[in-house]
Amino acid sequence: MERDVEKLAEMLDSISLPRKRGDMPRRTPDCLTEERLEAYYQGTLPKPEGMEIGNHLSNCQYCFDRLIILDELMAGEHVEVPRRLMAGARQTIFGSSNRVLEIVLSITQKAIRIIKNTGELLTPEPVLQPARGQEDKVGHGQLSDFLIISKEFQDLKMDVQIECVNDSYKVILNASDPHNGTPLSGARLALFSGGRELSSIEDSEAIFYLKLRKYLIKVLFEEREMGEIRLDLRKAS
Amino acid sequence: MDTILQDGEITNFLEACINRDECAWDEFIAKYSKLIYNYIIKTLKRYNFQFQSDELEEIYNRIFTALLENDCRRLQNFRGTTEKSFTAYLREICFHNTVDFLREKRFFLDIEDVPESSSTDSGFDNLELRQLQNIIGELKKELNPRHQLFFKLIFEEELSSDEVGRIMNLKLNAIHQLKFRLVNKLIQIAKEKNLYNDLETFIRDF
Repeated sequence: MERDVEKLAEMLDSISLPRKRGDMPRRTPDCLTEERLEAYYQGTLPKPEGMEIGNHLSNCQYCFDRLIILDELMAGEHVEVPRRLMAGARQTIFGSSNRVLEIVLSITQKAIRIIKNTGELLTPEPVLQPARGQEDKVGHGQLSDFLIISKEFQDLKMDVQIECVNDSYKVILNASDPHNGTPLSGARLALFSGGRELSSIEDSEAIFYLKLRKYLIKVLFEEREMGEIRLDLRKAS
Repeated sequence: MDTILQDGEITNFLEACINRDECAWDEFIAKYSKLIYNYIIKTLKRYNFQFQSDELEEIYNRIFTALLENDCRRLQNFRGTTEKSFTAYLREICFHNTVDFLREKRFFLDIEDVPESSSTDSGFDNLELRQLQNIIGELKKELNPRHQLFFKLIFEEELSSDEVGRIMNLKLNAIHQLKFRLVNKLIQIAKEKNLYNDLETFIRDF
């Protein structure tokens, strides 16, 4: 019997057994997080939990593959990252932020407070006082606050003017040539909220009346996306 | 990785990244690039994908793009409080993106499921080898989960005892004992399933 065991072990060592390496690994709801997988690998889990994970690993190629990769990562050799790649990552991060104008405003009836702004503010801050001479625009003798923020997206300059008008917020967008300030024909300004396109204006200027919520405005020039404005209008707490 | 962030600090650090803080992202790149890069390499190797440097670069960039998407949604979704849990979370992102890349390359459809025949090592021809593999496959199904995992590691993955020891937290002598018990169990199962005569023929001819 012992001889059989030894011979079978030797035979299993010498033959190749099919492993499901070619299958596409698929995640199931029962799959382990990396954190649990690491805890299992490091043997830091209580025994019953470790056994439960062991059971899962014996049947799940997706998690099993990640366990093998984790072992390779923990125990194997590491190579240095080429500097060029790290510079590329930086470009990905900051190159993309150069195409995003992010404006977060906290709004009361009398003032707008800027929570975040990644553009150039062309009006006073931090709290904008009611604008003089705006009463006529708004009507009913109510005050209107406004601010203007500007940002250059590659070869296009965007001015964003925001005004409080009664219970809504008037947003005026202007796309111009950054070199001479002339309106840019061929521009399209598309307004989105909650993943839905609400409006699209094929002009260098667009006016939207918005409510308190998050908006995304895509700035396109000859159907090429030049940048986006992320506008978050919040009610002041 | 250079300095390890203390518990709780990771939240502030990621918050700064979400707010596109330049210094925070520089630190992010310096701290985690090596992990990301090496994880991709290990994953590609795991699936035997013969990669070129531009493919490696593409996946690496793809991971940074994924981190930035939708206002850094993935960073915002991180709920842990320790750097250790964040690196685990980051590995998960790396795995998904690398596997997605392989899917797009239709790599998984092309790969051979069955490894190259080792008939020359064992002395069996391909047909015999296939029969033996079928018998072993039947027996393996009856093993308990721990033995199944061990079987996968030692006979299918052909990992060394050191590697199996690390993965299953076993000492070397425990591995030898477990291997003996496992093979013994296979023989018992073969007897129970009336497959022993077939198996014994292979053992005898080996």
